[in-house]
Amino acid sequence: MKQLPLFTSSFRLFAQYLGKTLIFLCVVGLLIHLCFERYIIFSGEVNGASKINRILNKHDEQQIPILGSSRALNHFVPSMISPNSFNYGIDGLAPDTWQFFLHEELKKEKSTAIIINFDLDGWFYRSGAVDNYLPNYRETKHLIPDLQRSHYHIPLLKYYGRFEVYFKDWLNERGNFTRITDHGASFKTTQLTDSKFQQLVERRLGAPTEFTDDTKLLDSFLSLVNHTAREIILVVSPYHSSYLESYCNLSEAQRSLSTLDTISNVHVLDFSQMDLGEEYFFDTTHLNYAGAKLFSSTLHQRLKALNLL
Amino acid sequence: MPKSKGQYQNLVLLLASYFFYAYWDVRYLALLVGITGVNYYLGGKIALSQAIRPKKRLLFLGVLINLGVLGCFKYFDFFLHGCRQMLEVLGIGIDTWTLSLILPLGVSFYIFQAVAYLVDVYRGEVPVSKNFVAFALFISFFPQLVAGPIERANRILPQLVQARTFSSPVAIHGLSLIAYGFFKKLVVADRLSRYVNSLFGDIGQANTISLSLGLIFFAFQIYCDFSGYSLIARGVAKLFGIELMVNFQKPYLSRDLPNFWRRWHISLSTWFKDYLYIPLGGNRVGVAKHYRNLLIVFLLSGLWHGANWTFLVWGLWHGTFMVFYIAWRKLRPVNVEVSLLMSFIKVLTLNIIVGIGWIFFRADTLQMVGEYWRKLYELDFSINLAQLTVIYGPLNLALSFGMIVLLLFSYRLPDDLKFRRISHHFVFFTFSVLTIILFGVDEAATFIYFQF
Repeated sequence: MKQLPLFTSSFRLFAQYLGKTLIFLCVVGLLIHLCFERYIIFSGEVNGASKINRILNKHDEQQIPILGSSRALNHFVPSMISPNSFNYGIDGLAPDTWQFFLHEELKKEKSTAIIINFDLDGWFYRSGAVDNYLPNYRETKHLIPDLQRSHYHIPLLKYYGRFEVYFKDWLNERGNFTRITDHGASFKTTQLTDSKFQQLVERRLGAPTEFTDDTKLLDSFLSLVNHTAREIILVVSPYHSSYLESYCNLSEAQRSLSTLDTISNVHVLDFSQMDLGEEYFFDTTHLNYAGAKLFSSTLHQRLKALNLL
Repeated sequence: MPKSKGQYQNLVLLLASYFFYAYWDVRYLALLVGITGVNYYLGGKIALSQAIRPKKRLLFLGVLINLGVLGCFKYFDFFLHGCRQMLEVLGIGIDTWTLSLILPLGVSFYIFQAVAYLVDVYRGEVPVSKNFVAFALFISFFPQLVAGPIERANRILPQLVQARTFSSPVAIHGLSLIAYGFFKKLVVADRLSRYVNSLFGDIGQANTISLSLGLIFFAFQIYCDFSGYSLIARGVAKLFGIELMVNFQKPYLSRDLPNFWRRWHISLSTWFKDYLYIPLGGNRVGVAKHYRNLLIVFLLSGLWHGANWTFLVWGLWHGTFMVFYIAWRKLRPVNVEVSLLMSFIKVLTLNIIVGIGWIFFRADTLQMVGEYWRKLYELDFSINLAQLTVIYGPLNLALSFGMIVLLLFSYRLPDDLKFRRISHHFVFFTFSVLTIILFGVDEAATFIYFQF
């Protein structure tokens, strides 16, 4: 009985077409991927992905890094604190992630101080936006255990659905449409209405929060600071009164900070109750630009007085 | 044992289709197989019956079983709830229980396909299927199982009973259709759904401008979502050498409502025409009955989409305008030659009527419809960026418009993507894939018509 060919010539033609298409897509896709990373993602200073890339791959001996969450991003004006400082604050960052930054920073042969914005929420885990981690996925995937996907390893495809996010950050940074940027820091130029602000205050007062003390995270932090001679400055930046009132165990936070202050190369500077009027706050979580400048100026004076700059 | 290459092909496809269906919920696979078996058996009995009355009784039984299953899963709770509300209005309060059944995936589609088969066999328009595997595949072919097109036996069964040879040009065309379908779904529909869902989630915060934008966006969203799925279904079917019917033909370029319904969800509108409208008498009855037939067809078409008063009202909206159009055409016969301006006005009018109807389709309740209308007619044209961009920002709004423009540019491509050269397919396919990767929205939105 005559055997039919396994692959007819028609199927071979189709396979050739498919093969050529895939090769073309791979080549063009890789080019777009490289250009996008270089000219959009990493060309900026403010987006989280570029900051992670910077901490992993750039070395500036004189730089004083400022680490932390959105409260770092929106509260610290680097040009007013020190000409060599850079704001690595990222929206949504939690202690587990800024400890990653601290770990990478301490690997560098430097002697400058490190400023960390310490939130009174304490020691806890939170992945934050996966967009921050994608460009350096191999090095950072352990920080997003619940968000890992196999296609995050594939160039171009890893950014599917996210190109817009990076492009928006790039546009904002180039055009300063709704933000002012300063060495990695970012400050909104818009202001909420009084009624909207009051709504947020009421919501904040109705949502109790607490200081969390994860011993594993605390221990890893202690291990890092005990193995370096560099000065670690933990700064508690200003809080809106409604936010402070919402904490049910503030004394525990104070106790924890006092304990950290006893470590020889750790300095705790608590500005949580800095006397700032409501006109200096953007919302109940963050300062506005005027508030950030006032706070940064005060912080600069304090750091200078303590000879930490 | 399958005897021919065609039988092997059908068996593999059938097993793949059942696996596909079972992956969603294995319990409802039994329903699908059951419906297939019942219709296969009854089709055979109808064909064997010589006398009219037993033939009719068997047909009636078949239709009753099919529509009974559909009614049970889809409409039982809705009608019970409706009856309870009516009784409460009369001051009679009753306790009712509900079935709360999960709607089986694709049931509205494959039930209609089965009913069409029985009626076609009864009418002698289709020879009865004596090949169970081919028939089962006709009912459950996975590309069109969950959201159509609702195929006819006389189109599909002849393709299934013979062996299909792989054709490179057909497969390449299929890939282009798949790419275009995913472009419509992921790049256009899902992008617009962000705005629409955010708007409908908080109508109270919207103003006339954002509500009007929402209407336009939803019109494109539902079109791209559904036509995108149909394209993907056709493209996948082509890879297996099966031709499915075209389900959309640029419906928003229609100049009147009848033309719109000849271009929108063609498989459903032709089903209602052949199996309901014409048996009711169509337009070959008196004027009053003709209008009645139109209203019945559109009401049931609305109900087919879902067990909700909003769908009924949507059907009534279209039915009413259809009646108006027919009546108007009787008074003023259609002018065959129309100027470009008149064509534009007609297309615009049609889209306004259809667009307003989409409010009923999209809203969850009639109260939401009322709120939408109320806010729309507040005539608040104030420019507030947060309100206008419904929290997603100006870039998302710009991309929404941009993707609609890209879609309209794609209308310049050859009809049904029938490019003359393979190189044109290559350019189209690679451009589509790159556009999908760069502009696609990754929010895992299901196809709208999966819920029907």
